[in-house]
Amino acid sequence: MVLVLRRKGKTGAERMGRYLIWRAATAMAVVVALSALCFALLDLAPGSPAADILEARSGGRPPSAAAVTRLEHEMGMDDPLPVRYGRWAAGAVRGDFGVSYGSGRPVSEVLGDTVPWTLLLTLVAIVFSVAGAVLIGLAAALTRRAWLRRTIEAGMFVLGGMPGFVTSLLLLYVFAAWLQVLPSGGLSRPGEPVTLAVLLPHLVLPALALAFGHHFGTYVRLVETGVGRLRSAPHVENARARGLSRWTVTVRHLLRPGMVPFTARLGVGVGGLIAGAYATEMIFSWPGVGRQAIYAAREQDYAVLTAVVLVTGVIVIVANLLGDLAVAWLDPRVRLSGGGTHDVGD
Amino acid sequence: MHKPVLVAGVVTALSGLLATGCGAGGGGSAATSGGTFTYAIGDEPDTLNPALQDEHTDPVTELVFRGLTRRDATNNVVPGLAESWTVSEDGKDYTFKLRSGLTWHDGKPLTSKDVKFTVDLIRRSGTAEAPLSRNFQAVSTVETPDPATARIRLSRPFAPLLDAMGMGLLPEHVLRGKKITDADFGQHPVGSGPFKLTTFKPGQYAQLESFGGYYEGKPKLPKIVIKYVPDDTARFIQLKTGEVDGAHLQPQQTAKVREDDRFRVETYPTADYRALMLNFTKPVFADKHVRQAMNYAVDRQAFVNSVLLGQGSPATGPLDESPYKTAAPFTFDPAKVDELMKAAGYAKNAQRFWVKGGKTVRFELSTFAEDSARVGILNVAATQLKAQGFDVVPNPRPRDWVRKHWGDLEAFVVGWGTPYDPDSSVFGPFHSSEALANGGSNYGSYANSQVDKALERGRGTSDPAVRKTAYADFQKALAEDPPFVWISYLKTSNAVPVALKGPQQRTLGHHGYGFFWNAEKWSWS
Repeated sequence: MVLVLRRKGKTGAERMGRYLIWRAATAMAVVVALSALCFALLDLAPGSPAADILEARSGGRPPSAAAVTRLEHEMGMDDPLPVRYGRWAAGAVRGDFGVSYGSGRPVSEVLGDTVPWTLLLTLVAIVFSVAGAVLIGLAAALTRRAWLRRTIEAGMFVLGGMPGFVTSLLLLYVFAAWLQVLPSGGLSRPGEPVTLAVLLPHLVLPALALAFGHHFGTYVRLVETGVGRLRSAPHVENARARGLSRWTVTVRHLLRPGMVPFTARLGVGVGGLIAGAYATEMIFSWPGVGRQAIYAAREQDYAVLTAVVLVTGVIVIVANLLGDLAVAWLDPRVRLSGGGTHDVGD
Repeated sequence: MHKPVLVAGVVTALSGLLATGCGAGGGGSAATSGGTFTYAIGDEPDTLNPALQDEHTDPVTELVFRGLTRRDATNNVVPGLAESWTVSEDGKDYTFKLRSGLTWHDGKPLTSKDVKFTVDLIRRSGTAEAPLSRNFQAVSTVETPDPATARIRLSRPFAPLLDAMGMGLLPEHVLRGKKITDADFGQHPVGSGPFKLTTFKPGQYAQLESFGGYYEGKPKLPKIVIKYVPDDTARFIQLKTGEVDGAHLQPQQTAKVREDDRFRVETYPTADYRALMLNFTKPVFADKHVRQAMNYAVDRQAFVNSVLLGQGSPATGPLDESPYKTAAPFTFDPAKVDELMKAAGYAKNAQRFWVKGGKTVRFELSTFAEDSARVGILNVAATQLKAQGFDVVPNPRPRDWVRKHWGDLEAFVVGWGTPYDPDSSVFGPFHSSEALANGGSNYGSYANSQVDKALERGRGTSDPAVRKTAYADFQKALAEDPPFVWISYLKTSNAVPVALKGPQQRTLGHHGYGFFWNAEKWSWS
């Protein structure tokens, strides 16, 4: 097949390049559409950010209508929606997302302070999630012990039905409150510099909570079925017959193709993981963007909220892209056809 | 089932890896390390600028700033940065004498120029940016005859000014030419209070150090850390494991902390009350007998026991927690309800509701659906009032809906009250000029000429005796013609280590803010 393609003047690498460009272009379009959509949606939301700011400043006293109108004018809220979006978008492309209504800090500064922590938490959670899912999924798929498979199934069933915050609180009770082996929140003890040695133990519980509280059961099942259905596939039997080692058979002929459904799902699941990070960050006092988003939503801090939605959207889009690329790497059919459903070749 | 095994495995692996140098877990309360007091709270302020915080100063702002005046344990105004003051005969001229040798946290001297700068800046900023500017509307000029003297001239007498000057002073040399909402100042404030902010990590913590230049001398606690832990359960766990030394507690947590002999629970009253606000544009509330009767129809102790889990006290008026409090009549008295309703011409129908002219006392009782404590009060109030024959329809509504429909609400569970000058907590909600239609905070459009007169006398004189009678008259008029059905005051609880000496009870403000009011006197035993 590769030879045929080469004769037509298109190498696999070229096709992969085109595929990448196509995906990046679509991703950009999605980001633009997303920004417009979330700007408009937030505008439709009931209530007035000016009223919220005044109420927050006055310790919960409802503000007067006159004060609300005045502040709305100052904030430029009385311009028509397209004008405000244009103003915002013009700033956003320069990295200027305006100023937080609540604290007066530039939104870009707020994002700079929080987004890296969320990314770190999410990445570590993905590592835990993948490692756990592969180990447990493989064990369930390859074991001959029915009790083990059933135990894993039951465990994942329970885990799958458990809301993320319950997983978080369970972990907190067991490891922070009862065993007292791990700190319960934050990046470090107050005043302690955030070094790697300090950060890692603080990262364990929130990352575990995020990994096991969100779709973990699904991931295990995907690995299990993905690998399980290949157990007696012809190419595997063939590999075994050729006398390849058990390790080679498992990794190259079972795991690599068997991981495709799991990997595809993982790329999509990152969105859910980020959503889960919101609650996880609240419980573990993790100073990430999710916690910021919850405060911003509560105070209707549109400037922060719009930027947070956009950044979250970009993270999800990038994750999906990476997921697709990983699938393409795992599955030559995707790679060589120039990308599943998006055939841009020729 | 496999989860714990796996989790344990991963954790063991990781903690083994990190065993050196992390000392991660709970052990070792911060109290033992260098004398730092670490305190966890849920709410995090947007800004630490005292001029932007209306009557609920968060702990950090409270520790960093001081005003010309202060409030003592009974919320009376006492000297702060000013060692004394005089008020002219006509009540329009206030002369403050500053203490000598005052300095800002950055070492610059604090002078009367800073007083002028603070008052001018907040007046210029207006109520939209700085709601507290309403306290300075009567000011015409601020003069600084010498660095230690500030003279504030008013266009009309305004007695609450002394209390208003308790707001933290702002440093001119830092804020000159900037807006009052300056974000940098809000995050890195320079004050003149007993503690100086050394680190502020939004979303994490604020670290404060005792300030040697404080006018009462260097505080005994070397360091205070305020840690922001938004989740109630996580905050409780951090207290239990010693990650923090003290914490703000939820009502349901206080009993568990009391059992723990490492902690002492400090439960203080607050001036934050809950009441059923009635809308006077609705005919159903026209007759004051009906409103009096409803005030006798609620069993306030039942609210305290059930909804507030003991963390409250019965409310009978807006100044119960103020030094200006006078005796209030309302108790739970069904016989009195019958008497008042019959006097008003009502009789009970087959459903045991009071009826007059074919109409029951029917109204919708609402509140913010998001606020579970208020919804609890709403439900208990509706049940109790129904039992006494009032046709109440309980219906909590979303906050955003309420904000746009204040005028349409029939009755609403409100929260008001400050422990400070009575004017600041009662003029807005009860003076007729502050009615909703005028853009004020009298949301029920209550109007009573005696109440108006008493409130005007209260703010228009600086004679303490006249003020005392004015607010006594106000409370009497209010009890005769009730604007609200009073329910309860909230209490607030904080856990501190037994070794911490010094926290002293005072009636606190909204959400129990003000716990650190005398932290300059705290020490380890």
